[in-house]
Amino acid sequence: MRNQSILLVEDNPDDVALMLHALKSNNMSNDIVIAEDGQQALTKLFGNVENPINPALILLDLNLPIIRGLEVLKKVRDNEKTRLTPVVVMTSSLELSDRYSSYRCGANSYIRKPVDFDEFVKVIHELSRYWLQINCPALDA
Amino acid sequence: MVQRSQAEAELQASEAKFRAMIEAAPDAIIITDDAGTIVLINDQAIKLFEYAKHELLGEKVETLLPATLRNKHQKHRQLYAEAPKARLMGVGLDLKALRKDKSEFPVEISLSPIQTDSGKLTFCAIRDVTERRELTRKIEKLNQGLASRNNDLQLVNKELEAFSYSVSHDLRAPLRAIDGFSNILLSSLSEKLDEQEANYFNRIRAAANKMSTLIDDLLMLARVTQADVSLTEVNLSEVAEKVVQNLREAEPERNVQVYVQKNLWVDADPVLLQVTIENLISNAWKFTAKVGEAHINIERETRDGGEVVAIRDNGAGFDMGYADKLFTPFQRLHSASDFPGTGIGLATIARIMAKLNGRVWAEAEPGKGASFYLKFNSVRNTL
Repeated sequence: MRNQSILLVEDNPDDVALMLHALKSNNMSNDIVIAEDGQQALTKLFGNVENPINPALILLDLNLPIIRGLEVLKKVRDNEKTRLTPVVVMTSSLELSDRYSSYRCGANSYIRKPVDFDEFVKVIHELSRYWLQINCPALDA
Repeated sequence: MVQRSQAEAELQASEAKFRAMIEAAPDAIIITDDAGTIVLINDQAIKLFEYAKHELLGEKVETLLPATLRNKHQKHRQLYAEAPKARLMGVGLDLKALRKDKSEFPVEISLSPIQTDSGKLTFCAIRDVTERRELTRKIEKLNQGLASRNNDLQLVNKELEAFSYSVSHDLRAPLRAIDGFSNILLSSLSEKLDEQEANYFNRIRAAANKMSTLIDDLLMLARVTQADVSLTEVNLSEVAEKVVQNLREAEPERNVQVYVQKNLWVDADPVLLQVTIENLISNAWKFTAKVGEAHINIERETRDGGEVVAIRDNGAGFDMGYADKLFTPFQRLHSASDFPGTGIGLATIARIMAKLNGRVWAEAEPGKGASFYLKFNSVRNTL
């Protein structure tokens, strides 16, 4: 489980770089697979490619070119392989409607990417705790 | 003989009375016999058609119609004579009449049959509707203008929504990059940077974060303007207590005495009320940062004969000379180094209160604190 990949769906290269830095500073050393738009994400997950990935966590931006984030989320939930894969929506939007529709489409969590990098690192820290929890379930007593 | 002359006299008297009544009527009145000949015409009608009385008495009523309508009118008149009853003439049609000088004007005519000893007469009341037609035309034009403006507004609103959405997404991303990479550089270069260089990095970060707050506040103002309001009874005290609790958790080192009167119920929209109370209490919290014993009170009061919710603090206050500028966007009464802020919060509150059919105003004195008053449709205290 530990070495399973995280799929980061993000079109902004700055955000990708910051995200990678924040993950690293929280000691999350998993393989990070990056998709730069919704189409790429769907291809990597379900496409007729040699090694379709089966990520343990999907970090999803909403404002994506070609296929928008919510569409990706719907397809992820509709597919047997990823039906239960945790999806965290990470986006800039403050719009309540974005938050509501993300949860409606089956997001596990919704995080607004903060401008303040220290806050950003804190958010990723919370995420890594969530990550540990889903990967190390408590043993049955 | 005597009897007959008395009867005649009575008849004459009653006819004179009838004529006087017709003359006194505010409308133009023409009476015709069943052949369409004008037998009586009052001064209003004379004025309206610009004839002399003797020019019309004994003439066919068609004289007063545009030539193109005369034939048709004759037929209609005959039909009316067969089955006379009181009615408006030509309902739904644009009726036209003709003055002596051959100019036409729009009229409305009501007809009623009168049975007299000398035969069947028709009573026509004629009203010049030029002004009313003109007014109707103007109203229609105004309505069209309004409809098209409404359309424009809806378009602008849609554009504004798309604009806010784009601002919310796209404008923050570069700021995140500015702050993020400055932060990373600041820590990786920490040993090589002197104090001033590190300070410059921190200034870059502070500026990016300031702009982020500005964007958030502007978006809030725009969102409030576009928001649909659903009025319901909301417990303002609970909203206030939650806000205070959040402020205490964010700044545990501050010691502020806060009193919130219990169970203040107001007519408001829950989301908009939350924004208002959060703004006002955060302001009070901010502006009491430099006083020894900070106090914030939230309670019901009677002001100008009405119930209001007052939010008072003993903080920095402001000069009442500027009170009218307080609720204007971007208007700040304190320097950024004293009390940081964007100057949008109170403008947002003013808009919200207007949307809730209420009002907000403030009283203050520099160095002695400020009071903000919220007037809602109703303020109730269940205790």
